[in-house]
Amino acid sequence: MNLLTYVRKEISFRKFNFVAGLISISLAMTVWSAAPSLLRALRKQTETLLLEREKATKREMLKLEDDYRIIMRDLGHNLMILAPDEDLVRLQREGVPLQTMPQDYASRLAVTGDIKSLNHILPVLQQKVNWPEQGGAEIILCGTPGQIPTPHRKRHLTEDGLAYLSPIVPGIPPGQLKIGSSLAEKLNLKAGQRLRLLGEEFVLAEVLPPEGSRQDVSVWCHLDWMQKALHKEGQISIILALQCICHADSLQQVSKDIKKWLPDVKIEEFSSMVKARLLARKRAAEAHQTAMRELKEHREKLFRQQKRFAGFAAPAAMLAAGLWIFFLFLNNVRERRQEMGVLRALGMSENNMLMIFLWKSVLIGILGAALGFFLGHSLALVGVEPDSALKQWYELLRWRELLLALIAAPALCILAAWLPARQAGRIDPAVMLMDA
Amino acid sequence: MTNNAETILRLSALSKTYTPAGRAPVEALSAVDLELRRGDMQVITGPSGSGKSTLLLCAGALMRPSSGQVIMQGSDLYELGSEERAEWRAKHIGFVFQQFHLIPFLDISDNILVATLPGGASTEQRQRAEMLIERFGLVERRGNPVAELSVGERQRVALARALLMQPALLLADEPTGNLDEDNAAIVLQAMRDFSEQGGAVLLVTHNKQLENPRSKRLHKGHFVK
Repeated sequence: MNLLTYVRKEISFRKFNFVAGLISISLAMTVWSAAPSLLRALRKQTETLLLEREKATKREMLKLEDDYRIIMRDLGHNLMILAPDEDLVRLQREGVPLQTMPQDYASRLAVTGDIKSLNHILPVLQQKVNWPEQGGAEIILCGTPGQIPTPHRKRHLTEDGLAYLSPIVPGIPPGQLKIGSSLAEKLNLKAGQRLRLLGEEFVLAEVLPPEGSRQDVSVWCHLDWMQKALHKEGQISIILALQCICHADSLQQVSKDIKKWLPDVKIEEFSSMVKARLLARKRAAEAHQTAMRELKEHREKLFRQQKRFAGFAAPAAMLAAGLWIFFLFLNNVRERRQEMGVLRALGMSENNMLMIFLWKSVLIGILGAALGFFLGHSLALVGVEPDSALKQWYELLRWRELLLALIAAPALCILAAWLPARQAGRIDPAVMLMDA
Repeated sequence: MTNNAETILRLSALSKTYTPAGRAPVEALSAVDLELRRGDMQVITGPSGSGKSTLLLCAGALMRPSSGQVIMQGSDLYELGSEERAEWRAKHIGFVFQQFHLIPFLDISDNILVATLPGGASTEQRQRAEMLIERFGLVERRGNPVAELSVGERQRVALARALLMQPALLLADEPTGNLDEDNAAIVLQAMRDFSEQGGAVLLVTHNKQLENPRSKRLHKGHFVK
């Protein structure tokens, strides 16, 4: 029989003392290990939640994209059909086309071609001019006769089939002008006022709402007057094909259809709904990011609160367990005074007496740490939501923490048992034997 | 006093005065001299409070005397440090008490072997423990906890524990005080055997029946005739 066997036999003799110590240190270690485990579980749950939200958003964004593609298909693209010899680079630089093409190109496309994917055909003559009556201000003068009806949209046409019942771009009646917002502001022009342009008198029918585009410095008038004023009778510079029924993939097909009737024109897309889609996607992404940030902040707040609580609860539990173990050992020493006196009389050293109690405290500490660690992790698992991805306590296990627990708990027990153990070592066998 | 190789224990002018707090000092031993040689079995009798137990504790290196010397096998025990005295007790002195003082959670074997702590028993010590168990008729009760033993059996276990380490000196405080005649006879015979085998026994008791021609009587800390 060595000292450890002796300790083991004493433990099995005084089970209550050992179990009481074991329970207290187990509870302390439960709190001690549950706190970081719970925090880790929360962290993991947050990550899972965010990941799931991220995936869901991605799915939603894809669906949104699909929706927009469908919307695109219904709303269509805006195409700009330009004269064959138009220089696209110069067009970009100047902002207006420099070349013209015959006006009947528009009728050919709308009426003769009757391309089903083309909805609204708007012939426009566009040119930069100086406005002598307004101090020579540079303006983009745009002349249009209004939309040319396409026969396949007959249900939208007037009875004689010469106009739309409600055109998406209303025509400009002769004698009237519409002016872009920036220009109106700059020249201090108001709707309803009479004014002169290139020697002709007009009524300003409307100041167009701001668009952030060249339209804001444009003046719209009837095509016939403009052709005459600029000596470009029968000429136009652009055919705008608005809201073509197509989506990105079939844009080429539309171009092909147009080229069938106007083989040498140049076709450009402008201001399409793609922009709207991109904007919508951006907004959706921003909304998603805001929601994710708020969720993250909420979880972080929760995490910080729990961390604060854990920072208080774990040391408090350890302190309480330490005190409880101290009193248990104090009682154990008192109970065993006679035994200690006999052992001392038989020649056991003070250090060995000390070791009898310290070994016992180490055993309580190791078993308590293991038990508390398991309980703490299980408790942490209970603490998280049931639909969490965490299913097993060991998913939260960190070997370093287990090792730390297996060191910290016995160390705490040794510390708590130290004074009673010292007391046991210093029992005077003579006094004890005389008292007996 | 002689100081030859045969002397195991010599008490010289041993005095012990207790000074209880707030009360007058009590002189338990007063200049007591005693010598024990190999083969001696010294019985010291006296009434309660005569200083018997104090004498035994001082002789057993358990209580420092107020003055005087305790020389055992040439060593002044109280010149040794506390831990050295403990080691000395473990190797050279065996104790038997009236109350047995067995360890309640150990069985007979372990109670005998407790003297080998902390390192544990060697094979030789185990064999000796077995021999003592047989000698004291405890074979059938070997695995029993002490609570299940009779008073006589308990004292035999305590005696076996005292003899395990083959001490030179056996100190017995009222060893037969709680025993019936048969068990008292067994214990006394074991002590006689021990002294006859070269050990020395110092037995203190108030039982006059144990007195013999060499017995000494202690009264108020002095040996009297």
